[in-house]
Amino acid sequence: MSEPLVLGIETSCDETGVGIVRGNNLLADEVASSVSEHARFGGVVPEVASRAHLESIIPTIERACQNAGVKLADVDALAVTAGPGLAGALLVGVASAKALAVGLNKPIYGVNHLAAHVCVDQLEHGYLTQPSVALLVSGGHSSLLLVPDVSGEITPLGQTIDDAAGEAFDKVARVLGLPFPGGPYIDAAAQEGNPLAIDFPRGLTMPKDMLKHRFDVSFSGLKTAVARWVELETQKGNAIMVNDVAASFQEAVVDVLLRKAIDACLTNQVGTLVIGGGVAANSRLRKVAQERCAEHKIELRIPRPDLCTDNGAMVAALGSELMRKGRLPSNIDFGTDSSMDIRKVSQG
Amino acid sequence: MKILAIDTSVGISVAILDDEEILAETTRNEHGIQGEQTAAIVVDLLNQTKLTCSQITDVVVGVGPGPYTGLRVGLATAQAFAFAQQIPVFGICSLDAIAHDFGKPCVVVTDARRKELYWARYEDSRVVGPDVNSAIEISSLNTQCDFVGPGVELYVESLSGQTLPLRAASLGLLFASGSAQLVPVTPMYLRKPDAQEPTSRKSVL
Ligand SMILES: [Zn+2]
Repeated sequence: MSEPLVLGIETSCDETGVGIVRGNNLLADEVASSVSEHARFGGVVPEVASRAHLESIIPTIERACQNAGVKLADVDALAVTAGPGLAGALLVGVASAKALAVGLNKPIYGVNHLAAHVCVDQLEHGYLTQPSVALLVSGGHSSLLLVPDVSGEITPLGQTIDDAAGEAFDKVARVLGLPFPGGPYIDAAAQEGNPLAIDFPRGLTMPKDMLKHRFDVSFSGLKTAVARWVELETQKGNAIMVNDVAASFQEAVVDVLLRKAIDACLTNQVGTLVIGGGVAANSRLRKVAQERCAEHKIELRIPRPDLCTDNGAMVAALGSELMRKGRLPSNIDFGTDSSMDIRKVSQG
Repeated sequence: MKILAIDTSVGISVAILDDEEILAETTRNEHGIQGEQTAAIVVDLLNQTKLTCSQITDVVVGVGPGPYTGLRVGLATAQAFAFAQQIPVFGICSLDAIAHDFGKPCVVVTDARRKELYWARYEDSRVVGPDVNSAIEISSLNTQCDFVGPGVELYVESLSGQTLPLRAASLGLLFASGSAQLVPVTPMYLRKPDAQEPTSRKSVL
């Protein structure tokens, strides 16, 4: 018997994502993004995102089925992001997925977005090594997780105590006059800059931080340091070398994230590091991660960039994994949870 | 014709009809439970009527106006259910359901939050609106009218009339009778999203 066909829906932020998998085989991954509608506001506007999700969801499902070469009626189970995320945006995906589950008479899994970011790597590199350490970095989250079993047991090791990593990219991009979202523009500018030009602070890496915040990160101080540096240089009448500032800022973020992630692997005697989330598409993070993991003989797994950003395939991948492990589907009256705890992989 | 009618513009209301006969209905005038309960109520009504999904021939949905987050749940549910079954889905202004129940010329009012109401005026059919205004504005725009709907009890000092619930069954009846004024299956947003464009580059210090 062939493995089950799972359709996953993701609407936690500004991407309407629909993915279809059979087991660990990715058959389709369609994303409709409302990012251009948010750009002029300099950040995601929840109401704008929710409106866009409702408009895009059915056409995106249709495209995914077409590209996967499957009929909607052939789907064996639905999976949908139940949280964490923007409450109104999550509701559109969950209501749609539930109605598909009812209409098709198939089980539904309301899943944790963060666990899905970890699980998506299975579509590219096969079953996860158990346990793994996962570093999740995006505009909405920055967490370090111990993952004995992505379908049921995830322990948070640390997280950001202020801004998410991707948020810092957006804010620094604004200071440098680069467009929203900042990640890709900073990455591009940094390629032409010197990462050692300015020594920006590495938050929570001092010996005194090791007791309480060993695996936590902080980017608020870094963001302020960049802004202050730019203001002072401007006051002095110096031209801002955008490429050097971008490269030095990016270097500080990458350095802190990987120091913490490698430390987490070594401390917990875990030989595999998985990196996910939109910031995992950053080219410098990918490169330095390779170098440092090789140095410490840690297996590094980072999905290709389009699987790192929010998408429906990751949700389908987790749904598929929950089925493989025989986990019970969610009840039809499960709720969305905008601050869903990572210890809860799926809704009851 | 077996009709599934859904409205989440006030609370949750779901009904199943066989032409103009109401087979089952549930109406809960609570906010904030739409995401959890709407699909569950659909399942419950299918069980009550001993119908399977594939026996439903048409989906009718109230497209508001109503508070957006809850309203979208009904639209998402209706369009995804219809898509799964490959059957048509039709939109009707939610306020039309209450006017149908009242059966006489009236002004229908529902809560729009922020000290305002959604409203529309009806003679034989909808003649003004829907729009969104304060109770005082609505009463001065519509003198000597009967006000009906869940908005009445919120502003008894400005609006006199009858507090009627919003029933999806009435949307189904309008549709079945062929007298419904059909509109696109997209929410009636009467306000722009709250979002401000940054005016100048703000200092982040
Ligand atoms: Zn994400």
